[in-house]
Amino acid sequence: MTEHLGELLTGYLDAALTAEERTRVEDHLAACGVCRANLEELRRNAAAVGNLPELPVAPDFAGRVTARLPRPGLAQTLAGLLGAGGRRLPLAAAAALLLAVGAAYLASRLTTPAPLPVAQGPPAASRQDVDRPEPRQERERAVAKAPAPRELAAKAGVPIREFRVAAEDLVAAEAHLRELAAALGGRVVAGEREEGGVTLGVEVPAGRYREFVEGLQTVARRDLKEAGRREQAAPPSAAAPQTLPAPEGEVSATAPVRLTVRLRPALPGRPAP
Amino acid sequence: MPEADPDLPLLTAARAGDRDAFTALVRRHERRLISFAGRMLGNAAEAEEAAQEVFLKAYRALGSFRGEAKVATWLTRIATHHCLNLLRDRRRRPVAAHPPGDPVGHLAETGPDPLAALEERAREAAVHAALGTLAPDQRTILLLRDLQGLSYEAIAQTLGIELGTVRSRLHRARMALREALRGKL
Repeated sequence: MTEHLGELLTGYLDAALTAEERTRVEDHLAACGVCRANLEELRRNAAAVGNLPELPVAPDFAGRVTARLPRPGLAQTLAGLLGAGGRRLPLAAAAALLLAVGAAYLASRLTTPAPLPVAQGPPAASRQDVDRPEPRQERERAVAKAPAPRELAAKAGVPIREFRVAAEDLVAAEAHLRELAAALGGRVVAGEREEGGVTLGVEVPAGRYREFVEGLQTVARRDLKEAGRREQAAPPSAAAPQTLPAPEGEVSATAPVRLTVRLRPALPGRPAP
Repeated sequence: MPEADPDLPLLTAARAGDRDAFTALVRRHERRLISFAGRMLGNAAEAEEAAQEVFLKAYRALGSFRGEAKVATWLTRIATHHCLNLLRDRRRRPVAAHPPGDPVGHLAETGPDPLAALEERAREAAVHAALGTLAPDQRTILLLRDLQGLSYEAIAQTLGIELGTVRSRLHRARMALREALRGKL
């Protein structure tokens, strides 16, 4: 008997042999139980690899890829949308640019105790107001304001300096936050990858602080909408005049405001390694 | 005898600046490439991130597509090298011992025979773990052939190796997998 078949078995399995080789293999197999068993094991293993289930694809995966495609002048476009001097941004348009970043919640911690005068908004709307049909833009604007920062800030009268944003795609989220900061004339001054997320130190010009926070909230609003849980996660209140704390009273108009943004994975049931 | 490549019109349109065409191309290949990356890297969370990068690289490289290989093979080549680079650069831990997903949740969805479903999950986990113990180049060639179903020619193109060496490399990888799986299926 000739020696065992070796890599000819792999070629046979893949139907990648010449006619002559195939005849040789089949003759050998007819006489050799060892090679028959080997072939059977290789076949079973290959089938096991081939039968591994495909992984799920997020429904908007292609959209998120498309949103990351390079496009000339993104920073300028973004800056234009966010506007200067506190002009309201068209949220839907800005959200379209800030794809892929999601927030299950946008909470704040107060890290700067310096008191500040804070504009007082009208009282929050009742439930009836929420249910009443409103113009679409008004409704979205309301949702965009996470209630926690505003209420906390109104109570304490201090600027919010630390934000937590839950993102489905941390890399995209980081990229978009960098774009947002750059579009406002700010920059990311520190980045730290930690267990389970990314923490960014961001400086934005004092005059653009409010727009930056709005950008974060825009991001948050979009994810809640997609997840179909905006009602539970962030009960909308009526559109109120801007009541985000303005840091200008505390720092000079030219000095940058330093913020910390913590990006954390949004997916439940997929703990950080 | 090159057969028509169904992706070629989309690629041509994307190269001419049609972003929707590129999105369509992504849709056609996302599941395949995310799955491939997941098995290469060992977990689903990184797979999606890696697949995004792969498509972005492909987009930037649209102009250099010459049509020597099918678009699908070209994308697989980009994905292969991206994953190998990730594995090299990050000196990755071995592939996680359990495949991505929640086994309990899986079971809840499996029809009338939960025991068979459990066995199937155990088999998948064993194969996934065994793949993780292989050297990256062996894992790569196995996945290209047995998961992605590439021909020897396409494997040679993807890895940039001679057609004549595909069979011997593949055989060595299969023998390694056999060792890793011995008694586990």
